[in-house]
Amino acid sequence: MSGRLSVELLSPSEMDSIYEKCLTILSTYGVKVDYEKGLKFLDQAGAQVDFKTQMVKFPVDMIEAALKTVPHEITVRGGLDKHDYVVPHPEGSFYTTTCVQTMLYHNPDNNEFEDVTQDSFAKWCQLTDHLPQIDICAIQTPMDVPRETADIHGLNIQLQNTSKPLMLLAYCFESVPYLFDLMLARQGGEEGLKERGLLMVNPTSLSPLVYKDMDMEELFLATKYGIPVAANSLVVTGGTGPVTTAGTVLLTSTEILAMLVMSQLMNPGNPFVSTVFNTSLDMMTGSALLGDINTNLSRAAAAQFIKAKFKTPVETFSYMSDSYSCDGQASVEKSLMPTLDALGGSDILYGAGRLGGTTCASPVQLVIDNYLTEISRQFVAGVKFDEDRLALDQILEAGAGGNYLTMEHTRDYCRDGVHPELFNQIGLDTWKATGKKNLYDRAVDKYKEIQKELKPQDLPDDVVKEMNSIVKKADKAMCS
Amino acid sequence: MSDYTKIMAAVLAGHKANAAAAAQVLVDEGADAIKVIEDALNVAMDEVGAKMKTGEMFIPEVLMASQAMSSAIDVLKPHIKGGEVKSAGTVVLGSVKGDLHDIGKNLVKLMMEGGGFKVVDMGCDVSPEQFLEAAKENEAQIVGLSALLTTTMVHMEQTVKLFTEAGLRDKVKIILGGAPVDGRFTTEVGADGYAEDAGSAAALAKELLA
Repeated sequence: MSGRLSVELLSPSEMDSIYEKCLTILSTYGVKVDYEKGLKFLDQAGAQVDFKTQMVKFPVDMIEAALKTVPHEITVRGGLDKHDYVVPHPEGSFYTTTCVQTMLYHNPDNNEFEDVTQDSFAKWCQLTDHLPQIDICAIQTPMDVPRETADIHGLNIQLQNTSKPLMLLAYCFESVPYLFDLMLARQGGEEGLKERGLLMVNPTSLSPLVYKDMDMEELFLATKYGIPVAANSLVVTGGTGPVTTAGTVLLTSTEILAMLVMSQLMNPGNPFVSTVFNTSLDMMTGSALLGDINTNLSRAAAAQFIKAKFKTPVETFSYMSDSYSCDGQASVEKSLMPTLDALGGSDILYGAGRLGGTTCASPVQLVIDNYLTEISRQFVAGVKFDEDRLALDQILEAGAGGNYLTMEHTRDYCRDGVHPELFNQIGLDTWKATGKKNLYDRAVDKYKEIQKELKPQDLPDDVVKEMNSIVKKADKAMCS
Repeated sequence: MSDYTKIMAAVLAGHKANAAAAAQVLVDEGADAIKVIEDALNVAMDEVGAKMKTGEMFIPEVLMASQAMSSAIDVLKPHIKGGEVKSAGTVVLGSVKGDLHDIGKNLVKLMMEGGGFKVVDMGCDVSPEQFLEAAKENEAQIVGLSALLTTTMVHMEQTVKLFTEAGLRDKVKIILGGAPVDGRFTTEVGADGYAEDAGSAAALAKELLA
C-alpha cells in the first residue's frame, strides 16, 4: 500500500463520542474570552456572551456552520514560490517546522548552551532555508535585544534570513501591530500580504478554555489579511487538562474548535490549521514533559480525530525531546514521535532542532532532524506497489542462484530508498581510522560544511531599511 | 502517649475524612493538639516529602496528603491555645506582571502549604509594587516569582530591584521559578534562589529560612 500509511488510535464510535462532547462543552458551558473587543464581536455574531463573566457559548448550528466554511486544504506561502506548500501534502507526506521561542542555543564549537543572539538566530534561519526536509521556520528569542520587543526583533531576523514560511507567535499584546507592520513592509503593503502571507499566525489558548487579549487580537489581524491561523491548544495533561489520554484529546480538540469557530466568524473560509501542542506534567516533579510517550499518543489521537471530524490540516508537537544533548534519548523521541504523529494524520510536524523541553535549540540537532525526517517520510509513504515494482520478470530472469546487480531494473530503482549520510555505513577499520565518529560528531561536521554556504536573503535596501525602522519604533515605544 | 498510627496513615493515604476523624478521636481522648501536629502530622508530611523525593509518591498523592493534613488541623485548631498553628513562614507568591500562566505557581502554592507555609497567593500579572505591598502587609519571609515567558522575566529583575530600594532584602528572600529561569539568571538579577520544579520549591524555601 502506498500514498500514506495511517494508524487508527480511535475507533469511529469513539470519535463520535468526542465530537458530541466538544459540542456539549462549547454550547452549554462555553469558553472564557478575556478581551472586550472579542466579546463584542462574538455577541454581534450571534454567540451567547455574558459580558460579566466573559463566558461565551457557541450554539451548535454556529459550530457546524463554521465547520462547513473552514477549508480542508490550505496553502502556506513563503517568500518564494518554491516554498509554497499545499497542506495536506498532495503526495500524502507531511511538512516540518523548527522549534519556537528558544532562548538557549547549543554552540557546537564548545558544546555549551549560550544565549540565542541576533546573529545565531539569523544563522539558524539560513540553516532552515538550506535544509531540504525542513519546511517552516519558527521564531526564536534573541536575548541581546530588549526583552519587551524580542518577538519583533525575531520576526525581522526571520524575514531577512529565510524565504521559507514562518511561524509567528506574539509575546505580548502590544507587539502584535508591529509584527503585522513588519510583514506589510516586507510584502510592500496590504495587497502583497494578502497575496503572499509568508506565515502562519499562532494564537494560543490559555488552557483550560481561556483566550487572552493578545491571542484574540492575533486572530482578528490574521483573519483580516486572510493569513492561515494555526490555533494552538497547549493543554498540560494532569495540570491544565485531564490526566488521561482520551480526556486530553477532548479538551485539546474543544479548545481548537472554539478558535476555529471564531476564525470562521471573523472571515468565513479563512485558512485554519488545528495545532495540537499538548504536553504532560511530570507527576513526580511538576515539570512539563515534551518527549513523553503518553502525550505523544494524545497528540496522534487528536490528529486522527480532528482530521476526521473538523477536516482541517493538523500540526503537532513532534520533534520534542526532554534531553539536553543530541543523544540516544533525543534520537528515540525524535524518531518515534514524528512517525506516530504522521501516522495519526498530522500534516505539519513541529519542533525540529529542539532540545531540553521548551528551552533549547541546537543547529546540530536540526541537521540530525533533517535526516530523521527523511526516514519518517519514507516510512509513512508506505510500499509503492505496481507490476514493474513487483519484479516478476527479474525474479525469473535471475532464476535460482542469480544476481540482480547489473539489471536495468535495479539501476532504475536503486536510488528510491533513503540513504541518510549521517548514519554510519562504513566498515570497522575505516570507522576507526576516521576518528571513531558517532552520529553527533558526523552531524557537527555536516553543520560546519553547510555553514560555509549560508547567507541572508537578498532583499531590496529600502525594504530592509523600513523593516529596521519599524523595529526601532517598537523599541522606543515599548521598552522602558 | 497517644497512638498516632491512624492519623498518620490517613495523611499518608491522602484521606481527608479519615484524617479529620482520627484527629477528633485524639482530641476526645485528651491528646495535646500541638503535640499531635508536631509528632504526628509533621512527621507524616516529612515522610510524604521523602517519598516524593524517591518517586514513591506522585504530586497528586502529595497534594491529597497535604489536604488530609489540613482537615486534621481544622479539627485540632480550636483546641490550641490562641487557635493559631505556628507556620514554617509566610510566602507571597505570584506570576509576574504580564504573565497569565499560573499552573506552575499554583502547584508551588500547594506544595508550600503542604510544607507548612502560610501562602499569600497574588495570582497572575502581579506588578513589582503589588509584590512589595503584599510582602510588607503580610510580613513575608519569602517572595516567590513565577514566569513562563521570556518577555515577562524582565519584571523579576524589576521586582528584586524594588525590594532592594525599599531596604527589605535582608528580611525577605526572593525565589524564582518557571521554564525560562535558570541559576545564571537568578544570580544575574540578584535573587536568592530558584526551583527547577514545584516539588523542590518548598524545600528551597525551608533551606533559605533555616
